[in-house]
Amino acid sequence: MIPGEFGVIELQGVHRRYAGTAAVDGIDLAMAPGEFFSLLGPSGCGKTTTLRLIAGFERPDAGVIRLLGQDVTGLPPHRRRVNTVFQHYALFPHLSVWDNVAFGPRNHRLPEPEVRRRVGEALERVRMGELARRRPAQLSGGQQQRVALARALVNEPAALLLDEPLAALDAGLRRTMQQELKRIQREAGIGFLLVTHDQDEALALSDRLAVMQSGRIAQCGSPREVYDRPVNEWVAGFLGRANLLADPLGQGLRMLRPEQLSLRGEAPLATEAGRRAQVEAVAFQGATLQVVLRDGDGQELVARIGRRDPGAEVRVGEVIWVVWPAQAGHPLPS
Amino acid sequence: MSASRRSLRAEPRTARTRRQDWLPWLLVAPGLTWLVLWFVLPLAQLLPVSLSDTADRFRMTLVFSGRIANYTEVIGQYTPVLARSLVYAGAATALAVLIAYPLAWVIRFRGGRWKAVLLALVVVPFFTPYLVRAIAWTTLLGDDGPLLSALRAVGLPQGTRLLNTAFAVVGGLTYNALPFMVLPITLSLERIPTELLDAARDLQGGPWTVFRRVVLPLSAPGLAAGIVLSLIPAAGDVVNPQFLGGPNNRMIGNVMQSLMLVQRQLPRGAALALVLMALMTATVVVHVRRHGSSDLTLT
Amino acid sequence: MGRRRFLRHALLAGGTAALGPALLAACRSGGGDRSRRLVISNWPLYIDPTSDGVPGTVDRFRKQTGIEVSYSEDQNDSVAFFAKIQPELSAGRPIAQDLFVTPYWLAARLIRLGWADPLPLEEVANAARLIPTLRKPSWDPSGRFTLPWQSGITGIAYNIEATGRPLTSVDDLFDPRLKGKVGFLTEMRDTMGMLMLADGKDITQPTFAAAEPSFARLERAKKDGQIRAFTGNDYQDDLLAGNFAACVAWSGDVAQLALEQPKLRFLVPATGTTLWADVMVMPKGAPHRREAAEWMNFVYDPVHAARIAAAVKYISPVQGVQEVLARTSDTAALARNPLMFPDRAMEARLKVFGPLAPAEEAQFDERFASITEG
Repeated sequence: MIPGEFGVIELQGVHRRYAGTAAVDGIDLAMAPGEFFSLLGPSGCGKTTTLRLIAGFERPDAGVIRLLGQDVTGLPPHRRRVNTVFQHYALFPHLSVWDNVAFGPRNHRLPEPEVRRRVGEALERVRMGELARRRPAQLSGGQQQRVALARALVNEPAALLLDEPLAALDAGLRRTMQQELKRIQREAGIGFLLVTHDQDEALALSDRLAVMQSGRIAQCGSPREVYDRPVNEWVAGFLGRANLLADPLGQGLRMLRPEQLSLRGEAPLATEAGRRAQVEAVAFQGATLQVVLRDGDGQELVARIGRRDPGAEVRVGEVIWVVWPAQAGHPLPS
Repeated sequence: MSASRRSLRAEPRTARTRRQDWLPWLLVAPGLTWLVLWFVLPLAQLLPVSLSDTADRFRMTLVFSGRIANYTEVIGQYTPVLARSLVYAGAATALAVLIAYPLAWVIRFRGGRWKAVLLALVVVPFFTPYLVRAIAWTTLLGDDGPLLSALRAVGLPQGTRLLNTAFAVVGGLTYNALPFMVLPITLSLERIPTELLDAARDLQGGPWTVFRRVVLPLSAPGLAAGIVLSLIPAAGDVVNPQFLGGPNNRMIGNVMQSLMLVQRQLPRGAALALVLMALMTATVVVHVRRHGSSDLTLT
Repeated sequence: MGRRRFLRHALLAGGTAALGPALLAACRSGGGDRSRRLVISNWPLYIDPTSDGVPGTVDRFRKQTGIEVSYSEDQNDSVAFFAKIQPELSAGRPIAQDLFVTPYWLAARLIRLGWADPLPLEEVANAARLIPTLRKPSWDPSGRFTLPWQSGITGIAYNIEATGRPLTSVDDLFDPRLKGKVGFLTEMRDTMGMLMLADGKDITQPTFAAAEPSFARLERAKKDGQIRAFTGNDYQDDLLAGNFAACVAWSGDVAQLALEQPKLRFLVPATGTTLWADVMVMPKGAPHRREAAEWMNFVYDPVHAARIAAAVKYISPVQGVQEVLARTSDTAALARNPLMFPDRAMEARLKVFGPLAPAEEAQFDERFASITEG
């Protein structure tokens, strides 16, 4: 974030302990208006607790939470201008889709015509206008997800908090909903704070993301920064397959993503580096192939190559050159 | 499906599948037998009795005569007592809701690791027999008993009494209704996911709104069950009016007891029992229609 | 203590203890059993118990005769007991008991229905000691079916601290100053007998028409809240707990209570009151007639009858009891108690509630129930 600008959400030195263990162990965070920001990490890393602290369901033991520059650390959830999309949607089973969405506006004591206008708009935005009279139990998972989104968005929050919103959906639906999320965020023009353990989702959707580990933020940056230039081995590994090679130029390691490696029969050129390795496994992944190899030192290498690239026809047991540009890769502290 | 495949399937349909067909019947058989033995048969017997004449009330020789007057007579004579019974039972049920709901709420949301203990505390007093409890209260509520003595010490006027009043009867009925109210409500509260409450708070719901618009409607099935479980035994109760009430606080159960045992007017007793059953059934049906059914089908 | 103990006492005191023997008795007494056994059912606390190593009447009888006696104190509620035995007796089957103690009016009903066997009085030599006033009573004109166990007087018990003055008549029960502090008995004949006598009616030949003014008076008092409760002999608790200032009560109970509670008084109204009896009855087909005769002979022996009378403090139906009690210093006072041994003046006030024709009895029951259960 640009210094001096207000964050929609700002966390300073936030701690939260449960029964002696730190769930959130000193987090600083700032989210810009309109930003799609992700908290990415394995389960138990503190990302959901962080979200609950922002929403107000939990109080921090230490630290300050600000929304739009205002200190909300001590305020209950209903006095905070953020809304949450829950992991299991948390739709009210006794209310229709329409009444679920109207829940917030009615609590705001908006006049009924205004409630109707807003609810109608919100349902149109998530394309659920037709099913407004249904009960949640009569909806599919994806439809429930849309209603949960509409129910949160209709309140025009300063930011939307999403707790693993797509985790319960099957793969195909998940991809569709990812695009929907992005579209809805763009149209609504408000900040989305997404909590997820799925790095592909975080990379695909986020403007910026924070990788969390053991209650702390390990790295924060744009998807490209975090993917290409992880701060350590753990982050590198969490975001995707990483080849960690001894750095020929100095101490430490060099990280190369699988797609930076190519396979061919000829030895590397002067501008290239490479080594010979034996193919151990080839996994067909549609547009790409993932090839697992092992070099003479016994180190494993993973390459991802296009189906028309050289080396696409390799077979298990074949020995081949693994080649990369000499300057490629990102140095990591060992 | 082709004929050959069908015949193939018919072969293995032997002992195993047939036993599975019988299994559900086997499982409901004890319950069904019980119901027939203890409910359907007595009820079936009650109907002809209620339409009979008493030839000899001590030998209990009844003559079936289709005497509808048994009904018109008991309705005519005992409408005030019936009305009183429903009012007492209704008041006790309402009081039980007011006491049990907050209790259930605390057990569910504030109980923590004391949940089991709190539930046990609700149930344990009911290990003492019903009758013994009522008798113990006569001591507690007596004019010179500990409760009134204490209240008089803080300014209750002389001559105020608790025992042998409607207050004591309703109080006893309320107490008896408590576990039947607390347990289903607690269970229905237990079934509300915490996430829903978070969602309600998140959607700008203050504590009252969360309760009124989410917790209350979602616990409605438990509440409905509690009301039915409290109302029905209360309306037919005998012990509380007998021990805690006065002669102006008798309930329909006392009348039935008197008709059956003292006056030995079995046909009229049977007619009254059926009238009460019809009234209670109607009350429950209306109640479920109005409050329960939509919520019951939902969950 | 103890006539017509209602449910509460049975449950709190003798009830559970009585259950065991009753069940055993039910198992044992089968058809044609001619062994030396006897199954008796009586009201709780209506006999001298074995205590402090002194054997009670039942144990003394066992020891002297070798008869295996099952003595159950399971008579709690006479109408409930009647409902329990009616199906067996009307089907002509014997019931578990050889002998039970029941109110005189219920005995009359059993005799009329043909459900009582004549007593083996020819084998009960001591039956000759029955006091004259109870011979050939109106409930058993032949005198062959019943032998009184104890008899007693219905009167008015009151707490003089609560009334503030001695009570003098039945009218005092209707004194507005005692509003909500008055009890009547659920025993219809005792309550109505006293009220009808106060209205100047003859209760030895009661009619429904003659009773109606008394019913109306009772009904008015109930509606006005004058009457706090209709009770069995749980009125004792209400008297002691201060819930009743005055109530209709039975002589023996008050004779016992007054020993510990000098504030309790007992009034036998000058307008008259009921003399009642609980009587021994043998149900139809009872197998142990000989043993029953031995029992009756035993309890009609003045020495044993005196032990029972000293314990329960009702009117003993056995001549010579007064003399036995007078002989010993610690029971001599009992021998002078007019509630146990009515003098001439007392006897003049006592009337037995006469038999009711079946149709009229139904009217009485229904009218009374409309007041107590309305």
